[in-house]
Amino acid sequence: MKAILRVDEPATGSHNMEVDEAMLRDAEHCPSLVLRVYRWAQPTLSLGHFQRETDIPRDVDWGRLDRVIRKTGGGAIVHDRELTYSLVIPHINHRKSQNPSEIPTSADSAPSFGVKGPSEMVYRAIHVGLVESLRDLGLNAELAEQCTCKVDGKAANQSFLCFERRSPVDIVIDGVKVVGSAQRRTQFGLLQHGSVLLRSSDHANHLAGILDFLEGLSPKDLGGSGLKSQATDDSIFERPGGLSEPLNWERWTNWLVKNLQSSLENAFSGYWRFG
Amino acid sequence: MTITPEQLLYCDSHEWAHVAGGVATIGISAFAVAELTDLVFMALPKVGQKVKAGEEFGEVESVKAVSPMYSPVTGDVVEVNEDLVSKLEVLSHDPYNEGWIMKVKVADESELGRLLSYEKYKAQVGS
Repeated sequence: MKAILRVDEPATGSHNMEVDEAMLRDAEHCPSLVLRVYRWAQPTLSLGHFQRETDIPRDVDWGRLDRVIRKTGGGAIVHDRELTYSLVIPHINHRKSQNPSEIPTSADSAPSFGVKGPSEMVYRAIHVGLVESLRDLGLNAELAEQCTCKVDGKAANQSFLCFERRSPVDIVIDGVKVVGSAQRRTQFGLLQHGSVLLRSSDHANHLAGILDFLEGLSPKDLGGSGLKSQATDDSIFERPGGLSEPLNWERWTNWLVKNLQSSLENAFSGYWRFG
Repeated sequence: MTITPEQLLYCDSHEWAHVAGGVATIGISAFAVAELTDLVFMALPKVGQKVKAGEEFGEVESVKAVSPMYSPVTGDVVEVNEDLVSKLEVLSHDPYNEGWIMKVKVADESELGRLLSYEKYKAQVGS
């Protein structure tokens, strides 16, 4: 089945969310997986689906940022020096009853997105791939494998920011969360939002990004891990100075796209293929 | 009277309905609760709200996902289980009784024919 990639120019928060919501709506009729990677035109605070303006802590300045509410759950994200991806996977089983000719005969190759098992597999497949790539860069990356949520029906008991929370499939470096994600599962398909924190934001400077950790590596760390050749090949990791401001958005976008495409194709054994 | 899963009708999106006296009591199945896991928030409809069969009437958030809930019937919401929001853990141990979500005065009982029997639903979810 066809998988579609779109890499979009930076846009406003409202535009970004409208595009993602339209992608999910289209899953009712479109059998293609759609992967979108994008940035935000200005620092923007996106609230989780059930978060409200009144939830924004009053002792910080996030309230002055542009704001949107995501269709996906979880905590708020300061989109500044970060990349966002959205992934829509149509609910194959729903489509099966509507147009059987579009569905392969092997039931195993048509997972039912919209329910937990296959949907959680998407988290793991993507994040394991990213973890491996981050480890290739010499970073102590791993899945968090812990959960900070309090399951008592009271969202207010959780940290306001997504990157202050932990769920088992979040990616951490030295215990610090650098990639988080959340889903919306409808009868027509799955929307997954992911946020890859590249560098600490002035609006949330207690959170560190991937580059903050990379810049902390010593030359010995780099040589010892065989990182130099790997990184040079990927044209991502350039030292000295290459990772300093300005952030090389194009290279990190390419890095993310390459890893997401590879992880998705591997996870689904080629069921979806990017053209 | 205790409701058992065998007495219910189901949507393929995992909501159940128990119809008596023209009123449908509606909730989500044990399978759905298990699939969602770790529920943290639920947005309920309001009394008086009109709902349509197959359309969203509320949403539930688990640790990593938001999922809409779809009404099995068309009609007016006459009662909502407001207590459920603050004790979602009830859904894990009693989704068919204490875990009911809303009651709807059914506008068209012929729609019930589109819902799945317990046997068919059980076959669908593979349990």
